[in-house]
Amino acid sequence: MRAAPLDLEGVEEIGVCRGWTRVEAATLSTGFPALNQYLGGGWPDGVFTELRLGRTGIGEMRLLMPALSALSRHYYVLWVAPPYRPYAPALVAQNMVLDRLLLARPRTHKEALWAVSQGLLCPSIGAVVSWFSGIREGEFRGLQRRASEGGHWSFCFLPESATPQPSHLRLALQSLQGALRIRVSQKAKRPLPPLVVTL
Amino acid sequence: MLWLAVMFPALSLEVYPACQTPFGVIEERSLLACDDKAKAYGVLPGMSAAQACALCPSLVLRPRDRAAEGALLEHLADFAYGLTPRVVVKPAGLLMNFTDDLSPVGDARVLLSRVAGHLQHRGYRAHVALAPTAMAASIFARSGALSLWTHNDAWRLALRSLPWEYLSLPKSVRAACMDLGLSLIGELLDLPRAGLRRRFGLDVVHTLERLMGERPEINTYWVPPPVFKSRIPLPFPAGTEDAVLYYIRRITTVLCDFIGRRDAHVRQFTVALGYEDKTALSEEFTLARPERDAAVLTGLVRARLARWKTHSGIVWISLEAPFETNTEGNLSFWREEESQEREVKGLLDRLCARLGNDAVRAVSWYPDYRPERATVEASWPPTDRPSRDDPGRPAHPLWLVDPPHPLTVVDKIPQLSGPLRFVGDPERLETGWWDGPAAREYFVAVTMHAERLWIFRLPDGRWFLQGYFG
Repeated sequence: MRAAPLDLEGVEEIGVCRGWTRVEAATLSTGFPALNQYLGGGWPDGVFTELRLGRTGIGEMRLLMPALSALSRHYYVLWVAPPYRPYAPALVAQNMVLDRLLLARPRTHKEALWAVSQGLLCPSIGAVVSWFSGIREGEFRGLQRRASEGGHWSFCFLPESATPQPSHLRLALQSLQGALRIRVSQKAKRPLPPLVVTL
Repeated sequence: MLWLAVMFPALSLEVYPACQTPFGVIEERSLLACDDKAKAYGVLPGMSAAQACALCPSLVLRPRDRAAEGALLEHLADFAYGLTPRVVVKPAGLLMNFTDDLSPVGDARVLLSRVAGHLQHRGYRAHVALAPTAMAASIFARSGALSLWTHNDAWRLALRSLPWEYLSLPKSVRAACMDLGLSLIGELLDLPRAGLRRRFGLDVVHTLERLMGERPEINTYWVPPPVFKSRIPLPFPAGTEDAVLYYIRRITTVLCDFIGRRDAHVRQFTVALGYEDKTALSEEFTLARPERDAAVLTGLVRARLARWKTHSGIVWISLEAPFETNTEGNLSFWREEESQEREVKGLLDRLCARLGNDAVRAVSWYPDYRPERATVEASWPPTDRPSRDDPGRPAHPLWLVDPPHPLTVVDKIPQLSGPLRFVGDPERLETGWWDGPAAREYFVAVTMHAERLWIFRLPDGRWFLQGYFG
C-alpha cells in the first residue's frame, strides 16, 4: 500500500478556523488510511506525541514524512537535535519544502528542552519534531503543556528503553519485515490491538 | 531662505592638542597655519618651514592631518544637525540652511550668537555669518566678520565691497582679473555678462549668479552616519548577571529611544564588556528581522549572558549598533504571509541568541551526485540556494552518515550487528574525478533488526555505511 494522497485542504481550513471557533482536536492526515482510522482521523494537534523506537532506520521517518511535508507547504517545521544529517534529495522526493525546514542542534539537554518549548509556542511553526535520549517526567509534562497552549503538532522520538512518560498519545514502533508494527496507546482509552503499516 | 555659514580658520591647528610653545602646521614644506604665539615672532602662514624656524627657533611643527580635520568637521556637523536637518560640509566649514517651514530661525541674532557662543565655549575659533545665499554666507564668514544679513538688499552692497579672492575661481580667471585691475566682487559684477561669459566661460557667470541668488545653488546635504554608539562606565565593578543585565537594559533603552526618534530599526548590534583585568569581550548579535523594542534586545542579550564569564568585575559596557531607517508602512495586518515570516524570524533570533549562531541550521540541496555534497547544512539564514528542478531521489535515505562509517566484513559480507542482507539492485556512482574521485557501488541493506541502511563498496572492497532510511 502506498501513501494515500494528502488532504491538504483540511490543513488550511483548520488554520483559518482557529481564529474564532473552537476546533476540538483538529487532526492532520498521517498519509496512511489505516493509521488515520486508528488515531481518529490523523495526528491530533496540541498533543505532544511520543514515538518509541528501538533502532534508527526502521521507517520511523517514513511514517512522519507525509504529514510533515503537507505541513511544510503552509508552516515552518522545526527539528530539534536530529540524530544524523538530513539528506536533502530524499526530503525533496518526499515533497518537503526545504525552505520551511529549520534545524536546531542544541549542545545540552536543557537547551534542547528550551528550543522545543520555543518552537511549540511560535504560531508559525506547524510541527516540532524532537529527538531525546531520555527525558524526565516533569520536563515531559512541561512540554506537553506548551504543546497544548501552542496548538500545533509535535512529535518526540524516545528510545524504547527510556522511562515511561505520561503522554496523551504514545506510538511504540517495531519493524516487521519491511512493515512497521505500531502499538498505539492513548490516555483514558482502552488499548488497541497492534497495527501493521506497510511503508 | 537663510544660510548660516561657519568657517573654522584654525581647524588644522585645532585637531592637535593645545601646546605651550609656538606651534604651526606645515603642508608640503610651507607653513599652512600657526598660532598667535608664533605670530608674535613674525612667523606668517605661507612661509617656508626653514624660514619660520629661523624666525622662531622654539617653533613646534606638525604635518597637516586631513583625516583628523575631516573627523572634527563630522563632529561639528553633528552639532549643526541639531539645529537644522540641512547641513552642508565644506572643506573648512559648515553651512546650515534655515527655511521657515523646516527649521524656523526665530530671531536671527539669537541664533547667530548661540552658534558662535557654543563653538567658542568648545574652544574652536569660528567665523559665523548669515546671508540669503550659501555662497554669500560662506564669503562673509571667510571675510572674518560676524555678520548678519537677512532679507534686505544691504547684503548685496556689502558683498560688492569684498575682494574677489574669496570667490573660488579658476587660476586663469584669477590671473585675468589681476590683469584687468579688478579688486572687488562688485567690479566683477559690473562687467557685462555676455563679455564675461565669452572671456571667462559660462561657469564663472553661473558662480556669480548663484552668489547673488539669481540662480539656484546645488548642495549635497550631510547625512548623519547611521550608527549608534554608547559606552557606560560602571560606578563599581559588577560581577553578577543581574547587575550586568540592569546596565544592558539601560543601554538598550537609550538605543531604542534614539532609533525610535529616527524611525529606524537595528538589524545587528555588538555588545562589549570590559573587565577589571583590562580584557574585553565583545559579542555580535544579528537579528533576522529589524527590531526597535528594547525588551526584545535585552532578552537576546540575556539569553546569551549565561555563556559569558561574569565572575571577574565588569567595569564598562558598550553597545554599537548600525541602524537602518524604515520607510515601509505598517501594513502587517493585511499581509499574513509576512507576519508569519516575522514570527519565525523572531523565533530564529531567540534560538540563535541562546544556542549560538551555528546551532540553528537550514538544509540546502546542491546538484551533485556525491551524497555528502548534495546536501548542505549551513547556519541560518541560507545564503544561496541553487535552483532545483530535479524531482529528488526516492530511493535515497533520509539520514546521511557523514563521514561514512567503515563496516567490518566477514566472508565478504559487510556486518553491522550481524550480517547484512541486500535488497534490490546496486547503484553505481562514478563522479567527482576533478576533486577526489568517487567510484562507489551503493546497496540498500537490511540488518538483522530490520534497519534499512544505505551502504557502499569502494573498488578496493572496503564497505561503508552512508545512511539510514529512517
